[in-house]
Amino acid sequence: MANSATITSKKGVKSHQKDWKIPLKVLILICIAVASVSSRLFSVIRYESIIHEFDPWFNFRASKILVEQGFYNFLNWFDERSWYPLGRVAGGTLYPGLMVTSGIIFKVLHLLRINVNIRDVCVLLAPAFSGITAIATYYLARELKSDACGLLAAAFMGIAPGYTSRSVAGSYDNEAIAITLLMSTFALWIKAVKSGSSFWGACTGLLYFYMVTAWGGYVFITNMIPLHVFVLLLMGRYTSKLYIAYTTYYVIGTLASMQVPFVGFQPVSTSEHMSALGVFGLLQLFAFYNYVKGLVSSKQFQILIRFALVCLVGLATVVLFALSSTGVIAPWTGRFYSLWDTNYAKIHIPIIASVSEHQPPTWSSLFFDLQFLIWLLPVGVYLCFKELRNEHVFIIIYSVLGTYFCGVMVRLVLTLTPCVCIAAAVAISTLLDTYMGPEVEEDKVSEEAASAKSKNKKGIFSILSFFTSGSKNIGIYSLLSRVLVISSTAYFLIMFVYHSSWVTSNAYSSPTVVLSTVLNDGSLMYIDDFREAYDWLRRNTPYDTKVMSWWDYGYQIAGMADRITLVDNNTWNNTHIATVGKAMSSPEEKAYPILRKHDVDYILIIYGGTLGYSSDDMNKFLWMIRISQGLWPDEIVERNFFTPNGEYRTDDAATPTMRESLLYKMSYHGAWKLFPPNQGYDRARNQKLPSKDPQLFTIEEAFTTVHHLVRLYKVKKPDTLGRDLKQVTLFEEGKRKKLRRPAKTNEIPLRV
Amino acid sequence: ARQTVLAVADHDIGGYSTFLQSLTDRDFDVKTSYIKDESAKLFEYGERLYDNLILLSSQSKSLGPVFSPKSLLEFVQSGGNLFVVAGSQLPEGIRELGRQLDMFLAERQSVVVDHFNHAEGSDDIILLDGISENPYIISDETRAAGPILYKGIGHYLGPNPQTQPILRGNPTSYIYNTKTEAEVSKNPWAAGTQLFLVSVLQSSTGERVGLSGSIDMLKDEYLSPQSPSFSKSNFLFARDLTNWVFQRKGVLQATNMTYGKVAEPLESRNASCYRIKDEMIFSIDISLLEDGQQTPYVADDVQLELIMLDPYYRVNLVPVPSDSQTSQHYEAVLVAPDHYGDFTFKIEYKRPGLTPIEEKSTFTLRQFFHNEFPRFLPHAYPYYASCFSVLGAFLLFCGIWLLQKPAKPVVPSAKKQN
Repeated sequence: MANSATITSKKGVKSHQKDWKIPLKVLILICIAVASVSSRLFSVIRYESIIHEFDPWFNFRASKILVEQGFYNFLNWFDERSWYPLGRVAGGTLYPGLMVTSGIIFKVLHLLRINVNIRDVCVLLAPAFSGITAIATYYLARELKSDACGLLAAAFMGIAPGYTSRSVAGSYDNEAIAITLLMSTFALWIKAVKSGSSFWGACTGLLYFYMVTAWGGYVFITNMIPLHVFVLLLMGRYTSKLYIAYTTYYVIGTLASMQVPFVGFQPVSTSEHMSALGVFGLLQLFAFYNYVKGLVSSKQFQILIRFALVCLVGLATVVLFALSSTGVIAPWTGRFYSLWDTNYAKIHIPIIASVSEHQPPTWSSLFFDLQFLIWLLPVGVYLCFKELRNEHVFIIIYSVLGTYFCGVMVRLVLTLTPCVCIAAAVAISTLLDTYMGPEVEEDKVSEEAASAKSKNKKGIFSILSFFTSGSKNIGIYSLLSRVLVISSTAYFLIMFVYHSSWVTSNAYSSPTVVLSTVLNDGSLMYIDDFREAYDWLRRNTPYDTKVMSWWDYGYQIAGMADRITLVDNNTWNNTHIATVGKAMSSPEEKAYPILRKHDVDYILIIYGGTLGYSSDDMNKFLWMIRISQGLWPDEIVERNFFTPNGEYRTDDAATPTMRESLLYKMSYHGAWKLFPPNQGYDRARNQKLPSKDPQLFTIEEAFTTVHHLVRLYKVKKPDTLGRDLKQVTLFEEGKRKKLRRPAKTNEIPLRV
Repeated sequence: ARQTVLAVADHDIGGYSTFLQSLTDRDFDVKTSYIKDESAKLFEYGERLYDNLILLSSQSKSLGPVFSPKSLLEFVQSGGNLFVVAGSQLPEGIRELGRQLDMFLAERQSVVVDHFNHAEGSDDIILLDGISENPYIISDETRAAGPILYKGIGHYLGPNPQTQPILRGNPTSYIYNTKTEAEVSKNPWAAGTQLFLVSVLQSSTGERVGLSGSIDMLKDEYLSPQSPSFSKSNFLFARDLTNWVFQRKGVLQATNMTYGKVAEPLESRNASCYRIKDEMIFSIDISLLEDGQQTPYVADDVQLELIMLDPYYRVNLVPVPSDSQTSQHYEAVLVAPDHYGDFTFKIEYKRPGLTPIEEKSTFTLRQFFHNEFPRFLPHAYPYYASCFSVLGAFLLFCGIWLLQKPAKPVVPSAKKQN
């Protein structure tokens, strides 16, 4: 009778615990989502709700097209105002997922009579999706260990700087929703593998399709999932569950991805997609192998296998060679080569190497973006090896792949971050389980007294037991050890939160469009020169004005000034970019025909010498020279821009080639006026200004912003009387053409 | 509207009455003025006051700020026509003006001499028959009238193709500096057929400038029929020259530039966007001004270019008969290139003696939209067949599977227990 009473009491307690776990998890996830969104709003609070940096401006412009003109006009959009006069088939060369997502949100809100501006939807899309990313990470991580582990991973993911760097408010770029889709796809894939359900496989495929519409980095998924399957096959873990999951995912996902205009037939014609197709075929062979194995006797089966293998290898080799040689399978892209050979881009494709995001990261940047999570990555991976279920194999592969690629290109810290968060969560969760889990053992005093004490202790530790996966027979029993380790861990977690907030606030919340600096009295000064220049262009020039600038500012000119650009951040035509670089690097008389041929009306440059802004055009000049040298090695020689000592000089020691170049003249023209006489200084390069002001003949200064950061030059029309523009300028200045004596006969052209 | 002419001189302008009267007879509104006069100005409140300017200089060393080279060039570039006449005592300002026009006038106090072809009793009144052959500038009547009497200074021309010599020296003529040279000129400023006496410049936007090195050739002494020295050829030459410089002749006008799809109605043409491979038609009307009258300009060498960085087409426009009495209709039909981008239709027609035609219009060629590609191609039939056969086979499989009676389950036989 006493036993029955005890059993009943225990059942009641367990039932009660299960009831309040679910609301608690929901509450925690909501708090994590709120924290994710909040930590990304610094820029909106400090500056305003504006689009950041460069690429987001094009995405914003595309979103406006979608919202104002409808989906099919967006899909068929030919942008004649960029890459003049080539234009750009914008609708066919972008990933529409981001714009369609914000377009749908915009329509839904307007359907609910919430009258938002499309710009605000774009600005806040990334923070909103970061909350969803945290939830997706929870669902993935809890499969590895426990719900507590999932919650920890979600918390890490929500605020890790490696992820916030590409998803703060205003970062309206493909990564804003792509990481969400990445984690969701992985979570669904793990669920599909565990359940062997074609339903979950189909869901994985559909979400993969969503990812394909959103980001070019979908290739990571395209190779990650088949690699997972391949490793499982090598481990001898073929099951019909794996077969059903992968074939369903691959067929639906690939067919769906081919509906994206930018992707088209790439899944069957580019090398990046061949591994997925190969694993698909390999699974068919495995399935056939297992099927035949059950029908044929052992001896006959061996002979059959050998024959089949020889035929198959031969056939595959022949087909592969044939397809590659005829060009049906496209060779790997230059961007792909640069992932394996880090010097490839610098030598062959300077346009890729010139992007700072494409450089290898330093170790400090990994700590900066991930803090102590980066040290827990190997611990988490080790713990995954201990369990080594299929989902653990996935995380192990993810960590190896992510670590390598992020070591090659600093931008790919973004794809590594989810893996680090999950592995760190596994490590922290295991640590907390070990030090918080088991109860303290005590000798039994009496049956009744023991029963009463046991009930009381269960009540005390019931909350703590939520964070454990169950009591164990071994563990740490010393109270001092427990308190010490748990408090240290809590300290590290608090420091992580502090570090993440600080990094997001100080390093990743700058719009770049608006700069700020701290004055001597501690107050903040805003530098709004970019918008000032774009506003001037929009108000003072005709709608069909063509503006030449380096490609960094092309999207902003198109988005804010709404003027025609020659090159922009899409960088799809190297010749066109090299032509702009050539115009910037050449003397005026050689640059002028290029400007005329391209109908350039204004030239926009960034000069940071007055402010000390180091990302200006003179500091990017070498890339312009290298890119144009690649196409015209006889005309643009990089060596001539350096002094004989190999210095990059812009003061009086600058070489004639440097001094005569168009960009040099535009940068330093009139810069001395801001300084007392003979005290002109270039604060970006820490050199004196040239003592002789560069004189312009074919262009004239149109506008310079208040802090001398953005400068606009107007290209002069040819003289209607046929004179050289240099002669016109000298004549206007009152300098006469001296010709007192008769010219020599051979100097006079013969006129008929 | 009558065109206005300002004739300004640094000396008495009474000696040019015949010349000025001939301008009035041709419906010009002529006003005369003195260079130093306060009322002599070219602009008022930034607006140009006259259509044409005649500047006569025979003695001044300076023309003052109103008629400085800079002001004169501004006058031309704002749409005015300029006729400059200067003699041996020309001011330095006119030499500077000439240098800007690629016409290099000899130094002050130089004269053109010819010891073989000159008027009786004087080496510096020379007889010239090197008149331009351009029919748009000098008429055949003038060329047949005999040599031109000339007394004054000369110049040579630079390489600017917008300049044209109208009156050139005889092979035996040369420039002699009376101030610095003694018996013989060892290094003349210019000589022979490369010595030019009258030249013109045609600007790229239509304005014209004429430069004459002889004040005397416009005086009543040579132009008035009552004068003993009357020269009919000089009179006709002055008439033709002023007709051309003041844009009563040789003015081309291009109007009604239209382009679009061949099947497109006229009112919806000149759109901003067309598609690759569209069949397009281009048309334009060109007229020529002759003695103030608009006439059709017929030529077979008017060239149309379709450019995007490089020309994709260069075709000659075809004259097409039309009802117009004042202009000639030209057309060209072409297929839009298989390249999308911003394309420019461009006509650049430059002929000596005619104002240039420079017309351009930019439009966009876009790609095929998603619903404009050809469909139901024959070589796609195998794929259609495979898709639908899979669908049919699937349905057949489902039917058989559902309708077939399941086989009896094999019951394992129970082993007999001993």
